[in-house]
Formats: sequence, structure tokens, C-alpha cells
Amino acid sequence: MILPFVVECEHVGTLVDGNWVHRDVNLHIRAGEIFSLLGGSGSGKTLLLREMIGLMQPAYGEIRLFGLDWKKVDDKSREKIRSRWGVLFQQGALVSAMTVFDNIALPLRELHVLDEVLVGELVMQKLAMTGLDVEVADKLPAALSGGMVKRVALARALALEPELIFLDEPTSGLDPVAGVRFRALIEQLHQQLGLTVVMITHDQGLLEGLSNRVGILADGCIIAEGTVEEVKKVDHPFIQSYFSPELVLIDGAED
Amino acid sequence: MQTCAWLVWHPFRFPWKELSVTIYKTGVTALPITALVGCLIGVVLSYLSAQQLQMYGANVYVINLLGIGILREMGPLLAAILVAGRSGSAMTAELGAMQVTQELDALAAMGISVPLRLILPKIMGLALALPLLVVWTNIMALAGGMFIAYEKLGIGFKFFFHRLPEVVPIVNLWLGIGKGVVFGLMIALMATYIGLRIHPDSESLGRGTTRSVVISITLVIILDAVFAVIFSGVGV
Repeated sequence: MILPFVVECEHVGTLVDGNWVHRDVNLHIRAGEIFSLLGGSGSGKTLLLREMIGLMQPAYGEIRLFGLDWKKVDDKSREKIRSRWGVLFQQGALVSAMTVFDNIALPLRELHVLDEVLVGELVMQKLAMTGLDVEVADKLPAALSGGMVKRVALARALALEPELIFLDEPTSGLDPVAGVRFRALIEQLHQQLGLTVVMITHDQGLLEGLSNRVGILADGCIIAEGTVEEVKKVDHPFIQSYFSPELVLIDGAED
Repeated sequence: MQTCAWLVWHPFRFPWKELSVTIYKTGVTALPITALVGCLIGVVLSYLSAQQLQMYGANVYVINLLGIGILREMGPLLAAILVAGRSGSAMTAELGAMQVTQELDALAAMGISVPLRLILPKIMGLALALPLLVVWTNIMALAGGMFIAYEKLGIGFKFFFHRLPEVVPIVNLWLGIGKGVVFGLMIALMATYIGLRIHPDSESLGRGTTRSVVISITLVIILDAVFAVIFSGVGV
């Protein structure tokens, strides 16, 4: 069975401060995939993610989420797909004035249909799901470690039980052990909930161990797409330097 | 604008909680500092005018001077400058820090309207809190001035109270409160505008906060001058 596309980018071009960051980005991600977006710093991965979730509009091209074009979407259909996706920002982006409980409850309360008892139950369920203790609930984000912030942010992203989740560098800033644990958590959630995962990552473990498909963003377009094995064979300086065993840095790979 | 139109259709979604937080943070917690500064300025004004008035034997006019000076000018100006310094900068820094940590993005991604939930309550809250602070500063400054008038010129409190409404038209008080509303709106608009334009780095955050305070205070004084010209014929 061929599953439908959940994220589609067609000929996307993005202009930032007079520079064309994206020239012609084409991406199609199917339901149930774990898709990793890879690219050097400054290649516009985070920009593309922001465009996918509707925080930015590309200069040209089309981005569709669940078949809805962000450019043509109105408030009603935006609300409709709102609960179908969640996002984990790079630094967690928890609301620092709110406790962990309130942070996770925020998207639930925004629906204005659930009573507080149900909200409480759902928050506790999400806490357990992401491997957090109940005691964490009353803490402020400032009192949490980096790994816990990411877990709470993931719990918040999962609050509305989405089908699709965007992760921006989910393991950056975590120590190797916490990184491996977080990867295991994503894998487990993917299996349990059948999530589609779209992530930006540099983490080799996430790339090779978890991703079904990898897309490489360089020079303003997707230069390679496929499984890790397929992508490795593509002859491009960025890919060769990234996957080479010695990690030789070639000019241009780190600009 | 869009946010306001939306609110007309959804009056129950008004961010009451955020509004009360703003009023508490900008108003209630500013009570001690405005009281102190107001009282001291009242003392200074009274002292200076007492010395001059004594020379002409015009002691009783200290009430006119204090009444008009404080209700019309000093009260609103002091409250506005203090609020611009402590709340304007705090608003800019809060929004700027939320920009740095991507909190604003996260809220937008969750479908939470930043203008409705963060900006509107700040602007409305300050437009409500500042006029109240003006009244409070007026009271404290008058109290300070009254005390010195008694000490230096022997003007009794009872006489002061009787005389004040006779020589100072009430319109001066309303003018001062009106200024408070306008100053409050202006400070919050400036602070939130600059806060939202902060780039996600710490240098921009510091610069934005400073700019917010400097621009707000300058604008308060400019607006005050405009008020003085427009209402020059009223209540004096």
C-alpha cells in the first residue's frame, strides 16, 4: 500500500536578506516515514522547517502539509490540521514563565474543549510517555537539565496526539548517553504511535540507526535523497566529507 | 487591528489572566518606588517655592503651585518615566528573550496568537495601570509638599485641604490622568514593538532594551510638551 504524502515541498525558493537560501527545493515525505534532513550550517535546514510548519512563507514554490497549501490555507483549515502535527524546537522553546505541567497543558487548553481533570490526565500520560517523573511537573523550565527540557518539549509536541512530528536537532546539546536515550525514545514513539518523523540532525546515530530516508540540502536544493546507503554514493563534496570515515573537512562544508 | 476584530466575535477568549498579570507587574509592584520618588519631589517643590514665596509674603500660593504643578505635570511625568524605565524595559526584554529562545515561534506553531496573548494585554494593562499610578504619585507628592508647607510656612493640613479644590480646577487632575493613559499606551506600544524586532542574539537584546527605555522616555517628554501646548488654555 502506498501511503499518502504528509509533507510536500515543490520548487521552493527562499530569499533571506538578499540571499537565495533555497533555489529549488523539492521534497516529498510519506506517512510513517522517519525522514532526516541533513546539510551544512547555513544551508537553510531550519528555514525549511519553519516554512513547513507555516511560520514563514517561501518567496516562491509551494509547501503542503497534509495536502493543504500554506499559502492558500485559511484559519479554519489551519485549525483542522493544527492537532495533526507537533514540533520540537532546537532549544526546546518551553515557555519559561510556566511550569512543566502548564507547558504541556498549553496546547490542550488552547482547544477550549477539555476540562481540567482530563487535561491533567493527558499531561501525566505524556510525561510518562516521554520518560519523565511526576515530580518534574511542578518545576519551571529553568530548573531542568538540557535532556529534560527536550523531553518536556517533546511531551508538549505530542500533547495533541499528532500523526506527524518535526524535530529540530533533537540530540544537539545532549551528552552522548542522553542522546542515545533520546534516540531510543523517538524510535519507541515511532513504533507505538506510528508517527511520521521529520527531523533535522547531524547525529550519525540518528541518521544511520533510525532514519528510513535522508535528504541532503546543499547549494539551495536537495542534492540527494534516499536511504543512507544510497545517499552515501552520491558524489558531492559535502556528502563525501560528511560520510568519510576520517571526517576530512573540505572547504565549503562548514560555511 | 485584526486581533481586535477577532475579539469582538470571541469576547470570552479575552486574555483576562494576562491582563491582570500586566496590571500587577507594572502597577502594583511600582507602588513603593513611585511613592518614594513622588513624595521626595513634592518635598523639593514645596521647599523651593516656600523660600521664594516667603520673600513676597505670598505663603498661601504654595497650594496653587503644588496643586497645579503636581496634578498637571509632575505626577504624570514622574510615573511615566519610572514606568518606562522599569516596565517598558522589562516588556522589551521579555519579548526579546522569548524571541531568542524561540518561545514566540513555539507559541505561533501551537496556534496561539502572539498579538492577542502577549501584546494586547500588555498595551491595555499599561494604559490602565499608569493612570492609576499617576493618581497614587499625585497623592504621595501632595502629601510630601503639604508636610513641608506646614513645616516651613505654617500652613495647616486642614487649610491645605480646603484651599486645594478652590484654587486648582479639577480639570487638572483629569488632564493628568488622561496623560497617564496616553503615556501608558505609548510606552507599551514602543516596548512591544522593539521587543518583537529583536534579533535572536544577546547583543541585539541588550541594545533593544536600552533603546526601548531611551525612546519611551524621550517620547513621554515630547508628548508632555505637546499636551502643554494643546491644553495651555485649560484649567490654569
